[in-house]
Amino acid sequence: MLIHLLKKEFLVELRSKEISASMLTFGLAVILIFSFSINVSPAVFQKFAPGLYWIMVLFIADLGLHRMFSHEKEFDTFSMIISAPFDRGLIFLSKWLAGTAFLVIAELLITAPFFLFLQLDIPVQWGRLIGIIILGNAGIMAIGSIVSGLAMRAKMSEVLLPILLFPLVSPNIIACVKATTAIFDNQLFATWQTWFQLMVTFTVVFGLAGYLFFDHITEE
Amino acid sequence: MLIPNKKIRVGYVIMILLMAANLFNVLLKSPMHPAQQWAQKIFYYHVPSAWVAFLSFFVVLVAGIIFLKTRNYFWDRVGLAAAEIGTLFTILVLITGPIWASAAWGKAWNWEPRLTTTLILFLIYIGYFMLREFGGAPERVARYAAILGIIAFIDVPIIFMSVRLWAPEVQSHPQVEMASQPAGIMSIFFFSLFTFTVLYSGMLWLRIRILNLKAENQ
Amino acid sequence: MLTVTNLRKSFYHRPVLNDLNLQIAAGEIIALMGKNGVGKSTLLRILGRISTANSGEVKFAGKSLLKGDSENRRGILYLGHAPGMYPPLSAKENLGLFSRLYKSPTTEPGIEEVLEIVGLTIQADDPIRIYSQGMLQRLKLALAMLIDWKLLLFDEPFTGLDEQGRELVEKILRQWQSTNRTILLVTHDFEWSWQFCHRLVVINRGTIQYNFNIAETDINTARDQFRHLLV
Repeated sequence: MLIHLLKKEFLVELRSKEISASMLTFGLAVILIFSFSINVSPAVFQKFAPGLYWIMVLFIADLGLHRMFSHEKEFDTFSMIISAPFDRGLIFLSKWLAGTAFLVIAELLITAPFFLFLQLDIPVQWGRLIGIIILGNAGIMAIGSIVSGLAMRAKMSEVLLPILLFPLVSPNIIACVKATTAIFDNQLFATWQTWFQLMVTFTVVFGLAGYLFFDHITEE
Repeated sequence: MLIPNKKIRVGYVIMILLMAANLFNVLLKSPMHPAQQWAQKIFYYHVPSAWVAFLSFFVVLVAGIIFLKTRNYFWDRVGLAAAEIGTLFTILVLITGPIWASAAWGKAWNWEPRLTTTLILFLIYIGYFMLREFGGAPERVARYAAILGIIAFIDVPIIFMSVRLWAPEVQSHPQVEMASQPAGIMSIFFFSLFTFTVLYSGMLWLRIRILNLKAENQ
Repeated sequence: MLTVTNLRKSFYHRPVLNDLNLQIAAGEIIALMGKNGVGKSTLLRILGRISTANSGEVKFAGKSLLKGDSENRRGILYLGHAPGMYPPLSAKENLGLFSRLYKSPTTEPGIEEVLEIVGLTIQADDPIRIYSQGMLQRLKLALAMLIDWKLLLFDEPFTGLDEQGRELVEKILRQWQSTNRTILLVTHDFEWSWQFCHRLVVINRGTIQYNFNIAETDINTARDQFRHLLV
């Protein structure tokens, strides 16, 4: 069942391109504003870069989440999905996994301009950087999918979503920034291992919470 | 009569006496801290406020779980009352903390982990009230608020961990230091803690009462 | 096959359904009528497990529907006012997806066959975003033919349909009638329900006010009796 739901998420996105288009263009716009508003030497920028990167990711994740859940309302498909005879936790899992994938795909195309425009050096441990980015995205999307489920039927869902999401996701963002900074500084894994563990904990805890609570969240 | 209910009237009198005794204790009976002088006295209010705030959010968690199990709207009102009072005490913590910090450290805000956690929790609860306000039909919002209360509570230890590791150079509250203080300080501190807990219970009880009466009239 | 006991639902603290009781036997086709806002759609959405009820119990095929496992709602198909399918996907893709999600897997020819019946063969590969209201209604019918349901909850089957579309619904309903399938539908067409349904249930003030066996009742007496509840 999960595979059908996932296929659906990707097929809908492949046809409408709503999520990736909005994430991508918005991400690029944010990078542009960063370069204009923080006009310092590349060496200094290197220090800010991890923080800026995750600010950008959080912004586009918020945008993508909002689209992912609001398109379910357009023809009231959400009613048909929750009425179907399967565990609604699977709806959470499909949104979480697909959302993480969409975010990663958007980042694939945004990260290069980010390094290019902000004139950053590519870290030596770039493989680990990719791993941390994917894990961080999974954490953001886990809590993000829960919060989107809570906000989707509300009057001001586009406002409620970031207001609820940003404070709740803050520990994960702290960990993401810290781990990314360590990788930018080419530090040993042992020095930022705790942050990695914190990210894993966050992702697992809220992935599980979402799976368990989604049954209560979905019904109107 | 201003307060027609006798039980509530007695409660108010007890509360006023307790708070007055507490104030008297703190201002006149407690020993003066050699280094911090008067600034240290805010701790008799700051720490109990923080205790009550977190106790209140624990009540939100428990009420949320019971509401989801039973779907009895009484527990939704308990959760709402506890969230409101908890947020009020969170504000008190966020006011008293920087007052002490500016006297003791010369800086009002320095991302002390406990205070930072409280600030994030405060922001989460602002979102909680916005969700309650704009979430739509109250029947549905009750369920959403219960879940958000549970999620927020799960998040607190993770937030605290991350904030503490985030700025390890910032010193924590001198709670350890307080524990090693003479009995004069500790007994007054525990009396204040007791007073705040009683105050909290009374406020919670009154608020639930009001919300129940409101629900009956709808 | 479906028993609704003391169902209550409030919305903004206003009672919509108030101790509603209803029993549906297998093979019955029931028309649900009543003024706007009396809770017909709400009842359907609760039975489809889309809306929550405040209290009460619903048993479907002997199992508790409101509490318990997701498998307990297997065999119920809800078709609401909205199309309920994904606008960027084609009719074929939507039907394929939903038949799998409702655990009634079908084949490509099966889908093409039902699309042929509802007359959407030419537009089968177009995204349903560009469909007209009548076409979307036909698509819903196609879905109902694909899925192996025991109880169909259909909210206003005729919305947006032309004369041909109405005839199509009637033809399909006749088929379902002859194969003893259970349907609860919301309609505003009094005369029509007399022809196609076994029972007429009128909701008023959150409860069932009239519950008529259509075969035993004269249409004119019935009309006089509760005209005030319908208009």
